[in-house]
Parts: sequence; structure tokens; C-alpha cells
Amino acid sequence: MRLTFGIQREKISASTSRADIPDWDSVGHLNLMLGLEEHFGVSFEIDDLTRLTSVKAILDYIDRACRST
Amino acid sequence: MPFDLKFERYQDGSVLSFARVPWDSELLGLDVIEVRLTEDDLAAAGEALAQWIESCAPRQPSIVYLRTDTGKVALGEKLARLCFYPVELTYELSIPLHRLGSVAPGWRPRARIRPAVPSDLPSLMAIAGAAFQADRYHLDPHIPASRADARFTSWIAEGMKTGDPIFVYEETRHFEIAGFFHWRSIGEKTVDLSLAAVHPRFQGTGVGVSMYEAVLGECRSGGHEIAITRISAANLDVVNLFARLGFSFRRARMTWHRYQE
Repeated sequence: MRLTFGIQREKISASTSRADIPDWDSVGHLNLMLGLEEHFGVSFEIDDLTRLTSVKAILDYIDRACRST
Repeated sequence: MPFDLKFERYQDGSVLSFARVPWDSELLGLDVIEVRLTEDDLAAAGEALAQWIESCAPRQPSIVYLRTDTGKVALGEKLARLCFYPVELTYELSIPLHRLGSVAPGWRPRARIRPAVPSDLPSLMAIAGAAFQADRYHLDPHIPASRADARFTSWIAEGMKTGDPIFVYEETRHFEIAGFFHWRSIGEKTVDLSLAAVHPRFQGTGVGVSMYEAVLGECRSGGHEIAITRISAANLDVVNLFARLGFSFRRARMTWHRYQE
């Protein structure tokens, strides 16, 4: 998120969501998902995009994905 | 779909012509009339408009609309004096398709484009009834939102009935329709993306980005060289998207409404 949106690490917490980051629009969302795919080796489906709209949701998803591999 | 209106000149040599818009009149329960002005002579345009309004006091509620280039401030002032109000700023855009960029290179969603089939109609109508919020009828406070919604659901139903080229963008895990679009060829090389919508559930998630990239890629593969489209300035997410895809903004037009009870 820091790389995609250029915000400081200390401003990101589990409760951060789209509403908190003005640049987290549709294109920003896609770039964030791509960055996560690259970094964590996960693969998102279109349906996932609708749910991963907060840091907590993303962490939960990646946690589940890492456990299942 | 009947897009061609029959314009009538107000008087011989007048700079004003007008046409009733039958489909919008029927759907909105108002007389909807489009006016066109020759804007070269602003004084004559303003005078003709004032006379025409005076001469055609409507028998029922009406919306008169016209479009002007945004630089015509003097005309805008005349329109405001005649009780017209600005409802929608629209950009006209184009892109040579060989210059089409990718907003998110590397993103390969499991989705496909296919022609819409009759069994898609309920999904398409649900999307059409919910996806559009930034057009001039939704923005006009005199029009109930339900009627503005109905304009799009009716459009898609009619388009399916008459065999318009409507395509769906479908994710291929659950085969859910994420969006739809309509295009038409203008000549051999130009394609007009006349309408597109993304299911509200997918809005803001980048699915629209994928859809537009896929659609424009299809147009390029099909031999089109230039794509044109229009977008409401109120739809900022899509304005930004077109800018990032490499579209040029060719013209800005203001649409004015005049409502009379």
C-alpha cells in the first residue's frame, strides 16, 4: 500500500480502508491487487476485488491463502 | 433504437430548430424537447429562444434542453435569464487505438466478452437500472430517480429486442455479468462506445478498467483504428480512467435544462 499509494507506513493500520485513502480509486485498487499478487504470490479472482477493500480484509485473505498453500 | 430526431425550424431563417424527443417524453411523463441553436450570432440566438419559449407555452410539464460549447459564456448568461440551468458537463474523447495503454499491465482477470443473449436481459436491466447516476436526468432535481433509472432499463430492453450490438463482460468463475457495453461502427475505422455500465457491486474495484481495456482491445483486433466516446464530468472515476488509458479530450459541452410545470 505504501508503494501503490505513496503514503507513509505509520499511516496504515488494520482499520485503514478505501475511504481513508483518496488515491484508492478503481485504478488504484487494481494496482494494489497486482502488487499484492506479485509480492505474496497469490492470485485474485474478479469476485475477490469486491471484498478486499480494507487492510483487515486483505490481511485475512493473504493469511488464509498462505495457510492453504 | 430510434436515435434520429426530426428537427423543425422555428421560423424561416431562424437560428433555432427544435424536436420533441418521443421516447424520453413517454418514459419521463413530460414533454421533452431538444433545441438547437446556431451559435454564431449570440444576440439572434438569445432572441429566437426567448420568442420560441413565449410562443410554445406547454400544456403539460416539460423539459427543454440544449447543448452549448463551454466557452459560450455570453450565451450561457442569456440561457440563465431564460430560466435554463446547467445540468451536465460532457466530455467528448477519442483515442487512436494503436496508442491504447494499459492501466494495469499484468492483470489478467478470468473474464470474457460475449454478445448478450435474451436470457441476460434480467441481469442487464438490473445493471442498467442501478449503474447510471451521473447523467443529466439523474442529476436534474425535477426528474424522479426512478424515472431516470427507467430510461436506461427501457433502453437496454429495447436494444435487446431490436438486436443492437450489446455485449456483456462476464467473469468466468461463477459466470456473473459484471458489466455490459454497446458500440457502433462509424465508417470503417471508427468505433463509438456509446454506452457502458458496470454492476454496482463491481464499481470502484477495477473491473470497469478491465472491461474497458478488453473492449478497446477487441475493437483494435477487429480493425478499428479510432475509438470515440462521451463521458459526464460528474463521473470522475471514469474520466480518470479514460485519461489514464490515453484518451484525448476533444470537446466539452454543457447541457442545459429548462423545466416548466
